[in-house]
Amino acid sequence: MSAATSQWKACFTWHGKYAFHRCIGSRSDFCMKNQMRELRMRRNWSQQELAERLGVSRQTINAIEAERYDPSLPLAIKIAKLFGKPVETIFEGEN
Amino acid sequence: MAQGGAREPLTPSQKRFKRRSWIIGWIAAAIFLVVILLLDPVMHRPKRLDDLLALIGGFLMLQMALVMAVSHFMAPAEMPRQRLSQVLTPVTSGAAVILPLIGPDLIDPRLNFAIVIALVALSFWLAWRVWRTADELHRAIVRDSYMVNYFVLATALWFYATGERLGLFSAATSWGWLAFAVIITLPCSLWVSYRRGLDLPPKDD
Repeated sequence: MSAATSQWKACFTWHGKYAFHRCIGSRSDFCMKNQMRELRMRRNWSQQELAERLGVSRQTINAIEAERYDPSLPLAIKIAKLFGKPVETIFEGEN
Repeated sequence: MAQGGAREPLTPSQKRFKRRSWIIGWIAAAIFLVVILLLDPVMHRPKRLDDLLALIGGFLMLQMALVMAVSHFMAPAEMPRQRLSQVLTPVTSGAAVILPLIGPDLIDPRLNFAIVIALVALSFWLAWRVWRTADELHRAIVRDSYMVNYFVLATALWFYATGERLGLFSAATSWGWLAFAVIITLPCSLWVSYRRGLDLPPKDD
């Protein structure tokens, strides 16, 4: 099995059938996952509230939580500082 | 780049949000169908495909503006800084595409041209304002939409120009290409927005 095929299969296994499309479609070496929703729910914040704290729109929070959009490095650091956790514990890349 | 990720089942509130968006869209489509029928008698040029495309493209822009206006009205907290510019941008672009279709007996062609130029300039300025106030997700959507738009237009132009040069197709007008560009803008940006999850309703539960 080629490296590319095993990558597709791995993504398929971890994230379900639709993520299969995401990993192939973007030709990415990583499948990005994040803990944003869990962290936000633990603090009882709405998406709008978190968006206001970070200075972005509610849609941006929704897209990040749904793993449709990877934030820029400055925003990722801002998120990490707000939750008081290292960036790599909130955002994970899987080979 | 995260795109097109897994779609979780919608909660009842998210289903309501989606149903409401569909209803707004269909009401807007019905309103503009009536407006198109009312406008039909004042169009001065004979019925041509490029005019029809321009009319549909212009009204799609106006419909998009109406849907955005209603959505902003229903959820005022979303993007408060760019709300007005975001609604007015497709209004000015749509009007600039529809105005040249109106006959010379209603508007003098030179005045019509001046109005269209002013509307296009206003549209560019509003688009710039939207860009300046947008956050990184919305900027990414704008960038990606323009990129997809460019590739679709360039590919279509390449194929059509080749066919035209070989005598397979009749010559297209620049007005026809403008109408085509307006028409494809909407599906391109909708597709990019969908890929970036902009269609996903809020999920706070």
